[in-house]
Amino acid sequence: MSGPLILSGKRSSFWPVVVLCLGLALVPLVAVLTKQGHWVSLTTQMMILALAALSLDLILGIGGLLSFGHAAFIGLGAYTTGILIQEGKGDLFIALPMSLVVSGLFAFVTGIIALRTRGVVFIMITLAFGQMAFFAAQALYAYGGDDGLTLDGRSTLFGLKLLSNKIVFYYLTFFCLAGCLLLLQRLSRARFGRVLLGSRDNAVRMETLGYDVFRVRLVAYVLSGMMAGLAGFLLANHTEFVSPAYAAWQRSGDLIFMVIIGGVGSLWGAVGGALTYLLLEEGLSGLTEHWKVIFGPLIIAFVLLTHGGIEGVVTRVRDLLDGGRHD
Amino acid sequence: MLSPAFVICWMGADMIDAAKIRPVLQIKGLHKSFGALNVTKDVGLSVNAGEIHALIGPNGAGKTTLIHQIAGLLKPDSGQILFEGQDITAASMPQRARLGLARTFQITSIVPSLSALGNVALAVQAGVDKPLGFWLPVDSDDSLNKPAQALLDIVGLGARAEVIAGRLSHGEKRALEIAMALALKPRAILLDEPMAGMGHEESARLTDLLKSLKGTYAMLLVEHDMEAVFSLADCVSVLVDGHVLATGPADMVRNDPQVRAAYLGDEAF
Ligand SMILES: Nc1ncnc2c1ncn2[C@@H]1O[C@H](COP(=O)(O)OP(=O)(O)O)[C@@H](O)[C@H]1O
Ligand SMILES: [Mg+2]
Repeated sequence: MSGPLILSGKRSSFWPVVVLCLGLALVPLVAVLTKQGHWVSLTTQMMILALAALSLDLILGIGGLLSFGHAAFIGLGAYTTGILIQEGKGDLFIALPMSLVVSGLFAFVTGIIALRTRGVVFIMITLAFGQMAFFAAQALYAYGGDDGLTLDGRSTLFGLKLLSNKIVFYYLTFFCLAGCLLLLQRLSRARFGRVLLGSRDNAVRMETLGYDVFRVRLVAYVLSGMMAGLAGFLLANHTEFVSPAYAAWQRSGDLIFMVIIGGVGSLWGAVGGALTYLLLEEGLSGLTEHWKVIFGPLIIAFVLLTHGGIEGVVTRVRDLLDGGRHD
Repeated sequence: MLSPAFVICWMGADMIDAAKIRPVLQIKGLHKSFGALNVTKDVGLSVNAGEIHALIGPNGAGKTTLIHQIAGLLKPDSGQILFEGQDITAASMPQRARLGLARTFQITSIVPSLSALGNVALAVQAGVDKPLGFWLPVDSDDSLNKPAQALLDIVGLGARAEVIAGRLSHGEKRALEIAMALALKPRAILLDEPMAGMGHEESARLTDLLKSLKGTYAMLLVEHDMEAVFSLADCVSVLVDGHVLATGPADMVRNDPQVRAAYLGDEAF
């Protein structure tokens, strides 16, 4: 058995999701009122990575598949968007679907191979595919190679430069994140999610019930890859820059950490975990240039002490507040 | 005296074919080895509609390995497995399940993080129209929960529906497995030591349950509890060291001197 128990339906995630979404929806207002405008852009970046962490949690938390190459999908979405913008075809209605198609195809092809393996082999194969995407991006000499590529601007909307407005872009990102969170929340509690969860706990049992575990995992893997591809589309537009670093294995590792901090298998936890991780990184790197020396141990201590990350802490606090009302 | 089970028990594969009898499950000349270890040696047996065929034999005889091959978890080296006349030797595990071949495991196999009801509902779900829906919540899905609850009632777990399956007692988990198998509306069920680790009372209750299911499902029952075997089985096969030592009606097998010498200690009677 792996992962924490998900007692589906027993512990509602309604309030955490509401708090997260309301908080994020209010950030631009607060930032403008307090004249801290740079928080809008900073939070946009955090939400984009939170979207990628959320997509990873679908296969890692609910599917029990530790993919170590998830940043590749971000890279693919970002490069697809970046190249289309450079080629003058950067309109949202071209770049967005293309980013989803490319990352989804990559997930489909690599998933067919990787999902035939288990455990450490699966980790290594997804890492290898991730590195493939990384080296492919480095070899794109026409689009910056190693150095990456600064874009001419952001995607347009029917020719209009709407997304160049930072508030508009903030809310576009916000709705992508909130939409994906709600979608995955529904999906994880629907028939599909129960089969995916059952396959995590006991794949052989699921097959003896007649479920095609491989196919179910492949669907989840492709969906997850496309969601990370969406994050890539947003990232390229947000930074107006694409770089092989987007697809690097260190970035994949960051995403895994975000999911673990949030509480593996908790979808809102993945979003909370990503925000916590990035805020900590931001805060510490402002304090000292040796921030990584503090950051690493801090993250490890947090994970060890909380047993189940943010979600675990929230659950225990709620249990305390409930005070044995069930018994 | 000459019940169909009595007759078919004695028939080899060619005789069954010649008589145009079609058992629900038929195994012919199955072989399997792990490296140098031959675990299944030329095994043949058949299970008829509505009958219980018991498979007994000492530990390590190859009973579980045989069940795994019939269910599709292991591939035999050679031989044939027929299910309702169809050759399923090459079929995958899910394909066999969907054809109506259900099983339970010697080592309890459930989804520990779901409730007892959730486990059975998951099994019911495998047979419905849209088993992989993305949107509607599964917890409140009465088209799954109602049949699941009915099955829990049948196996005596009706009052334990909301308990997380991982926290059920050993005996309750065994019963849960049977409810999951029944949820597939199978034509045949493979039961690998369903009474292992159960108290006397629990196994007596399970014996009664299996007796009530007899007639509806064809069952291949691996079991060490001789009391249960001889009160349930229409037909008994003795597996020793990978091959079938004897097949026949319970009484005959019980008194076969070869069987007694090889396996059944005299104290078993
Ligand atoms: N995967 C395996 N690899 C190697 N040997 C195995 C494997 N599975 C079972 N065996 C061996 O095959 C023999 C039969 O095992 P099993 O079918 O579990 O017997 P039974 O269920 O009758 O007790 C045993 O000697 C066991 O050690
Ligand atoms: Mg066994």
